Amino acid sequence: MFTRTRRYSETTFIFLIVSAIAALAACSTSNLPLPEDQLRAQALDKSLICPICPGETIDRSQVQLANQMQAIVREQVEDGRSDAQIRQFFVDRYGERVLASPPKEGFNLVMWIAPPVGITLALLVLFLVTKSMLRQGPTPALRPSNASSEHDVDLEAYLELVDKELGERDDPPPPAEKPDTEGTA
Amino acid sequence: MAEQDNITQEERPANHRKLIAMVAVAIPLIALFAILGVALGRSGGVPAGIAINSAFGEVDVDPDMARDFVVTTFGGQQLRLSDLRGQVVMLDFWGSWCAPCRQEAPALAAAYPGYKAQGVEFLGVAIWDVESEAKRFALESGAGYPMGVDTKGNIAIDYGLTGIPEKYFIDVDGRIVRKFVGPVSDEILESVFSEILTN
Repeated sequence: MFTRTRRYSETTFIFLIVSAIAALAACSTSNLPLPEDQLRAQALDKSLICPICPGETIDRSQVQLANQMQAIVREQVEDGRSDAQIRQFFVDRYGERVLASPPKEGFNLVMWIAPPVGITLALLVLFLVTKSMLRQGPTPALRPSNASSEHDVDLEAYLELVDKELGERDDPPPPAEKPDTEGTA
Repeated sequence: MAEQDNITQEERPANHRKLIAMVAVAIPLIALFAILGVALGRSGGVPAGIAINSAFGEVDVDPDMARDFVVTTFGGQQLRLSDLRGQVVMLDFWGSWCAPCRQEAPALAAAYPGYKAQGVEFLGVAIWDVESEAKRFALESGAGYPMGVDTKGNIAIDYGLTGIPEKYFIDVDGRIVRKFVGPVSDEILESVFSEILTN
């Protein structure tokens, strides 16, 4: 009984796997015979933005326009057009915003140059600040000395005054106090 | 007192470091906002709704030849845009699922016969639509001008459409001379056609 159940579950599992693979194959929009053409088409899909769903490339977007763009990409790959020609086809129609990564020219150069320059500058500043902090030793607040800031200097002076007064009080009381206490009693 | 002097001297480089750190943070932030601002300006802002042109008005066009296409009209005829050369053409992209398109359809249907008599042709192309739905709506609206569905989406892509309704006004030589996004009023139609026809 147990082995039979197990066999059933194995069969079900295999059936599910095969169905999933078949479903994936059926969903695939690719009808290109050559595997390298399919890879090219997939790479092109990833490089083109769906114009009505900003930020999503046509390989991810589920809208009709993205599917139609994918179909055009495959048609043109099959016709032997180059990647640059296919991308230009869409740029001519939708402008440069259809490209997932902007071309390396004009104002777009800023987008290519800014991140590495920014990171390099940030690392440089971090390095310089760390270096100057190390050269100066621990920050004043962490120093064992009590006189570490202007505020503490005031406090120090005040504490000194308190110590002085307390020290005076610890001394034997002056004899002049005696007649006073007698007078009040 | 001498100790206090030492402290202020120690604080000076600390303030200096603070300033450097603030500048180091501020510059990339300002640059980021500047890039975002420029990008937003170039993209024409954020679209209000997917595939529906909610921003109405005229869009500047460089007079260029209208890309040719063939559409099968609801009457079953194969109509090529270039076959209409010699007439002023209003190419209207619409969809049965698009509320502004449905709203302006009766006005377009009513205006068509008058302009047809002046040598103007209307051509309606339904995009991202189901043929049966588009056909049913076309019949309901009573439009007498040729209409069809862009079944493969090639026409919409050729015209770089991102939303409807959108209208292209094409002169007798087949050049796009005016373009409007969103629905157009009778007054706009009249002024555009009178200008194109007098030229």
